Amino acid sequence: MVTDESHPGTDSGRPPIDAELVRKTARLARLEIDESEIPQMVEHMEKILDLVADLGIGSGSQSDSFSETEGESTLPVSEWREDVAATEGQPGGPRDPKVLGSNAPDWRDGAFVTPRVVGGD
Amino acid sequence: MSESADSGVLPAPESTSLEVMAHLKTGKCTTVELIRHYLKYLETIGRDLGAAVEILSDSALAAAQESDTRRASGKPLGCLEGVPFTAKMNIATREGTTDAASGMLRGFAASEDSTAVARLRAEGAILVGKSNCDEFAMGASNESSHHGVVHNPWDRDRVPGGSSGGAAALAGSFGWAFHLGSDTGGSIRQPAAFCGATGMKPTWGRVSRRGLVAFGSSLDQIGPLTRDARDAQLVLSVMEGRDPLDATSQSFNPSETSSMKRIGLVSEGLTEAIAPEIRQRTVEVVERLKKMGHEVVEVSLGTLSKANACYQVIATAEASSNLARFDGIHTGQRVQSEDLEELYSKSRRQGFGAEVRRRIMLGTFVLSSGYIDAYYGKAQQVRREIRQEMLSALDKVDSLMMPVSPFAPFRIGERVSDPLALYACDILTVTANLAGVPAVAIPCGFDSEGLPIGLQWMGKHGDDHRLLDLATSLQDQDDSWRGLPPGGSQ
Repeated sequence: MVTDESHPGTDSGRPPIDAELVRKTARLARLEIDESEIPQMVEHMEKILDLVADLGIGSGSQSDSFSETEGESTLPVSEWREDVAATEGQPGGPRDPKVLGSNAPDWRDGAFVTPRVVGGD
Repeated sequence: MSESADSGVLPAPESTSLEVMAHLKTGKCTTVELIRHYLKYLETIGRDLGAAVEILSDSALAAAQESDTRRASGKPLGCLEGVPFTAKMNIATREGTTDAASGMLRGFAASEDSTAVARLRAEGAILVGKSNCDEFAMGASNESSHHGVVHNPWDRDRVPGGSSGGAAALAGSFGWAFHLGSDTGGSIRQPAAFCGATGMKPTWGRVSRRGLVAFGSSLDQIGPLTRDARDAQLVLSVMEGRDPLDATSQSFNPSETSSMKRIGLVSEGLTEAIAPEIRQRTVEVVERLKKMGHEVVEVSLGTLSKANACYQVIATAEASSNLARFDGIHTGQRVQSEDLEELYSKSRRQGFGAEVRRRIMLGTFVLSSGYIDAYYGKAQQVRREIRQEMLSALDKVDSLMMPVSPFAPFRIGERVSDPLALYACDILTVTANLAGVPAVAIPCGFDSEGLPIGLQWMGKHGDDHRLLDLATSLQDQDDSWRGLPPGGSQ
């Protein structure tokens, strides 16, 4: 069962998926979703979450959580790279404005020109 | 030797990268002649397959000319001198675009090479093009790219696998070059198996991820797709090692260098869920290993049944987080709006394809308040169990073997509308990613329809080169991998 008691689980251990949950998740994901797409999204999420129920959702403690680097030798601080800014020509250093500017919609007087974020052109 | 171009004699079409270098050394053809012919292959077969989406003729020919000049003047040569290679569309290169096969990043030009590409070029390898893939590397059939589908070179009505489908189709249809892919849940090994190529997913952290468009950061690795394991060995040795610009990268010193004598056959990889011809082929390869002097014992990985579910939660959670940056303002295509929230949601709706949106939705759900502990927390717990079981098994044997895919390459369109049918492709590959261990897939013959079958071997963290030695010894015993598909090389 899921941990949130306001969402009673199904037999498979997953919460019921309905149009409102899909709309809420889409809002959290900042994804516009058309009303006509919702039934299929409900169906797909149900199927995938039923598959995921193989994990034994809600059972056991979370104390054994995973860390990708566990058990591996981590890099000693002494071997970290120096905290200095990269110079031009080095990876991560300042780059040719013309190259960077090729990804911007416009380039004027040494600055990117982009549309206003909200309102106007 | 095959056809002539200009005045030189070109290598045979199925030649490996190492053989191509030996050929160039003899002076039978120049690097410019070699690269010119390879570019022609990309323009014809590569385009027809949908595998080559960008062909970098000018920069490749300029690099080839420089290589010929170096060779003629007796200057030091790189250990991949003159060898053509392609990079998957999610790997940054300073020429061409790096759009991760997504409309969201349409036209995006990286200003620098990824570390892997930079290291390969520094050793004389020549970037000739960018290969197609599933959008943001999410898929197992290469049907979700905004550049269109890729066709399997062995049967063009079938998928090449994914997400590195373009790289695999190129590696499976013609020799000479090597191809960079990325593997988050099997995206190098499964397409390699479907196309008759060799594919290597290195230990997590072995190859720098700097310049790789992130999907699931704790799972992603760049790796090679090649004709054979010797080429993969060489390419990996150039790319690998600590990169100051990727804090998660590491240099590995293997604890052992002896050959892998004791092999564990994963019994869960031979259940009835696996196609009979693939099971049969696995048994035949086991017999071959025994004849070669290996000891093969059956090993059970009970957590394999949970691996795909665990992967779907972790990969989608990380994807939803990584892809949050594509908001239409800082990064990605923008749909103008009077309202900020609407600008975000419309830009993301328009920029991402259906499969990516579905994964973002699932990832957002499993991370959302009320569900995160039950789903993401639980999956992390199961991930630890998977890793512990894998490492415990690898204490008893040198390597674990099983098929790559439970079934043969399927027809284009056959599974695309059912996400579960597509996710089933990953059931045997995701375990290596979840445990972070290296895995190599090699072609092991064909089924009755003439479609390639691939098997994989996994090893302990850092055992990448020992695995490739094992793969090489198998390929030395059976050279059926050398064959090219009918029409593929013409």
